Amino acid sequence: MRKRLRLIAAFALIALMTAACAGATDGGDGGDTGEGGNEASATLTFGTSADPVVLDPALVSDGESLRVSDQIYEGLVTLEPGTTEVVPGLAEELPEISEDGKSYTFTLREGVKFHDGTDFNAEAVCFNFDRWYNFEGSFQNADASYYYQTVFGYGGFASKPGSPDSSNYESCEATDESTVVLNIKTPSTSLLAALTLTALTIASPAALEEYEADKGRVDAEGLFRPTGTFSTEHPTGTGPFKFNEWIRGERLVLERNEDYWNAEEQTGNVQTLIFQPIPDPAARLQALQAGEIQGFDLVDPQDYETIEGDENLELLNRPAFNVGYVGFNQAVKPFDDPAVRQAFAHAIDRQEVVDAFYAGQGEVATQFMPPELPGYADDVTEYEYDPEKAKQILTDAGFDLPVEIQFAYPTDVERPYMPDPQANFEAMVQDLEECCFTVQQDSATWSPDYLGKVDTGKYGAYLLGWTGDFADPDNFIGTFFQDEQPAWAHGNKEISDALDAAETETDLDARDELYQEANRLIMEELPGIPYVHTKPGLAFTANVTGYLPSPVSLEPFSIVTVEE
Amino acid sequence: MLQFALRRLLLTIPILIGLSIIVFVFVRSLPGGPAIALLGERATEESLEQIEKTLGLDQPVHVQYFRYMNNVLHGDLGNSVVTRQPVADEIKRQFPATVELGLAAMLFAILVGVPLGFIAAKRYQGVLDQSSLVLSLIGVSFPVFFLALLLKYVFAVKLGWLPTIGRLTVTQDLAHPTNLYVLDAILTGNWPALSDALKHLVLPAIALGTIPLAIVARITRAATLDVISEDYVRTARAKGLERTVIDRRHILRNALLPVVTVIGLQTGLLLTGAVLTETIFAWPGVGRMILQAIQFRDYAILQGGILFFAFVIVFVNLLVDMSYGFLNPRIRVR
Repeated sequence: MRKRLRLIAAFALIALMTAACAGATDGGDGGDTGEGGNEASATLTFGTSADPVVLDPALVSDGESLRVSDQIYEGLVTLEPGTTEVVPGLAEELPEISEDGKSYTFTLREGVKFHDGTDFNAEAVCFNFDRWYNFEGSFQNADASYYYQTVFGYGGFASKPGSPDSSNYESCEATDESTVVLNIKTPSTSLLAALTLTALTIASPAALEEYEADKGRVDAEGLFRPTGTFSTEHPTGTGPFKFNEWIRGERLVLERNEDYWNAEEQTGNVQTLIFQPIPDPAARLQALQAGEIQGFDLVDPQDYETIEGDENLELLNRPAFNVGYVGFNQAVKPFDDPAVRQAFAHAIDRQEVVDAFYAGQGEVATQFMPPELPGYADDVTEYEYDPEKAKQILTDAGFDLPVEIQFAYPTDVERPYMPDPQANFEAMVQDLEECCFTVQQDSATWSPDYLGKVDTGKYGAYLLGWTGDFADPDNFIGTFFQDEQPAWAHGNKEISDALDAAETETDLDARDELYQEANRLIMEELPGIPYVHTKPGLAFTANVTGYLPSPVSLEPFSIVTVEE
Repeated sequence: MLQFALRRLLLTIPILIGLSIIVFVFVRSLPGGPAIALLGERATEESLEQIEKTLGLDQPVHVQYFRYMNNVLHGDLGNSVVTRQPVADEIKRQFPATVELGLAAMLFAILVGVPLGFIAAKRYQGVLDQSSLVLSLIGVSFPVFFLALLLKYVFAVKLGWLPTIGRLTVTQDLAHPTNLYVLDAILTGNWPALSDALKHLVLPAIALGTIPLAIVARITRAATLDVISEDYVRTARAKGLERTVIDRRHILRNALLPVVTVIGLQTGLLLTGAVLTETIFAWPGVGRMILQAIQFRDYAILQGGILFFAFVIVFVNLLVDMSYGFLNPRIRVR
C-alpha cells in the first residue's frame, strides 16, 4: 500500500515537472505578440508602476489611472500628439469664445458613439460638466477631484458644506443636439488648455447612471466609498480603446474600438493593449529585456545607459515639462536684498549639477517654465556661473564676506526634477561656500515636514520644483507668483499684475507676449533660481514604433505599431 | 489536547492586541501621511486638512486606535485610502497568491534541504558535508532581492527559459475558482495554464525558498548527527537491518522532529520574505500590497496587512506545536 502511494506521488511529481518543462520549450520567448485570433493585429503589454486607482478620470490624479483613461476617454479638445498644441477633439473645431470671455461655444462632431452604443451629443457633454459641479462628500476632496478644482476653483462645487459656491463654473447649455455652450463666471484664458485634461473628458451618461458612478456609502471611518462598478468594471468613453478586463495586480486589458469615429488617426496595429503592474523599476527593465513586456514608463535614470546600449531596446524621452529651482523666501534676511539673490545665482554652477546628477536627461533652466510652452522668453536675464562676479556684487552692496544664509533640502524623496536632492544640495553648498557664503544647512523629510515648512515660509532658501498639470504658462508661473505666498514673499506687485493681465488677455499672441514679459520681470526680480528641466525616459522594445512622448503624458496607443 | 489548543488560542489574544498597538503606533510614526502622499507638492494646507478630516486623522491617536479596534472586532478592517476598496477584500483577493508562492518555496526548501542535510550528516566531515555547509551559509546571507535579480538575469533575460514577472502570462486565460493558480489550472483541466503557472512559480519560489532551504539543511544535518550515534541505531545495525531501512525508519524519522519545528518557524520568514520577493517578481500577493501601502501611507492596508500576517504566523506556530503530539507521542500534552 505504502509503496503504491509513493509511486503515485512520484508520478504526480514527474507529471508536474514535465508540464513545466514542456511549457518552457514551447513558450521560450515569453513575449506573446500578436498571438490572438486576429492575425492582422498585435498585442502590446505595457509595464506600469502600479494599478490605476479607478478608471473614472474625474476622480483621479495619479499617472497610472490617467494613462489608461487617456485611451478610453476623450475631451472636447485635446492636444496634438507629442506637443502642447490644443486641437479639436470631440468638438469639430476650437470653441468660439464670447467677447466678454465668459462663454465658450462648441460645435460637436456628429455620429460619434460611446463604447456602449449610446450617442455622444450636447446633452452628454453637459451631463458630465453638471456631474462634476455637483460632486458631494469625499468626491470633493483634493485627492479625488484635484484637476476639476484646479480648473474651476478650489472647493468649487454646487453644494459645499459651510461655504458659498466659489466655483468658476456657471452652467452648461445644450442648445441643440451638437452645440454646447459652456459658461463661466470670470474669464480665464487657461480654460481652453485645461479642457484637454483627462479629468475633463466625457463619459457615457448611460453608463455613469447604470453602473452607479456616484453612488456610495459612508463607512465606519466616515470615508465615502463608491459602490458602483462604473470605474472598476464599466468605464465607458468614446476613445480608440474599449475596456475589456481588469484583474487588479495582474493585468488590465483594453481592446481596439472597431467603431472609432477617428479611424484615420488610429494608425497603429494594436488590437489588445495590456497594462501590467510591476512596482519595482529593476523588474520592469528585466521584463522588457526578457520580452515579457514591450514598453514601460518611469525609467530609472541609472538604467538609461543599459537601455541605450541594447540594440533590442529603445529609449524615448518626454519633452521637459517640469522645473527644479532654488526658492528664496524674502521674508527671511538677507534674501530680501536682490544683491544676495543675484550673488547666489552667480555662485552656483548649475551646468555642473545638471551634468552630474541627471544622467544626461536634464537641461539647464533659464526661467520658471519649460521651453515648450507659449510665453517662454528667449531673452530673460541670465545669471552665468561667475564666483568673482558674485563676490563683487556682495561687496558693492556693502556686505562683509562671507555672508551667512540659510538653505534647506528635502530628504526621503525622488522627483523627476530632482532625482537626488541631497546631491544637488551638497554640490550647491560647496559652490556657495567656496565663493562667498556661509551656509546654515537644514533638511527635513519631504512630507509633511519639508513641504509644510516651505509653504509656511520657515526656510530662507530651499530646493523645490514642479511638474506641470497642463500646457499653459499659468500652470507654471501663475501657480508660483500670481498670488502672494509665504514661500516666496516676493511682494513684487509688478509681477502679480503682469500675470493677472496675461491671464485675462483673450488674444493669444498678445497673451504670449504678456507672459514673456512676465518671465522677463521674474528673472530680473529673481525670486528664486530655476536650474533644471528634465526629460523623463520611457523604454520600448525595438519592434515598437510610433509612440509619441508628450510633455503632459497624453500619449495615445492607437498610433503605435508592433512589428512582428 | 483540546484543552492545550484552547489555552494556546487564548494566549494569542494578548499577543495580537499587543501587536495591534505596536503596528498602529509604528504606522503613524512614519513621516508623512496619506494626504500628503496622495497630493505631493500639490498639497495645500486646506486640502490636507480636509483629507485628514475625512480620514479621521485629525483625532488623537488613542481615539483613532479604539475606533479602529472596535471596527476590527466587528470584522471591518477599514478601506484602502488609495483603491477605496475594503481591506478585507484586498487581503482575501491577494492572500492565495502569497500562499501559493509560500508553499512552493517551502516545498523547494524541504525537497532539497532535507536530503542535502541528511547526506551531509552521513558524510560527516567529508567534502559534501563541507560544501553543503558553505552553500547553506551563502544561502542564509545572500540578500533576497539580489538573488532574485540574479536568477532573473540568468534564466529569463540571458537564457529565456522562464518568465520574470507575474503569476501567469498576461495573454493566458484561466478561470479562478480558488485563486491558487496551479490548483485552478488542474481543477479546470487547463494544461497550458498549468504549465504557464508552474513556470512563473519557479524563480520566485527559489528566491524565497533559499533561506529556509539553508536552515532546513543545517537543522536536518545536526539532528541526523545526533540520532546517528544513538544506541538504537547501533542496535539496529548490529541486528543486521538493511542500511536503507535504518536510514529511513530509525534515523530520518527521529531526526525530523526539530525539522518540522523549524519549518513551522519559517512561516514568518516566508511572509516577510514575500514582501521583497513579491515586489521584485510583480507577484500580486499580500507582501507586495504591504510594501506599496508604505509608499502611499495607506494606513488601513498597512495595519490590516501586518495584523493579518501576525495572525497567520501565530496560527501556524500553534499548528506546529500541536503536530508534535502526532510525530512524537512522548511530547503528547496532558
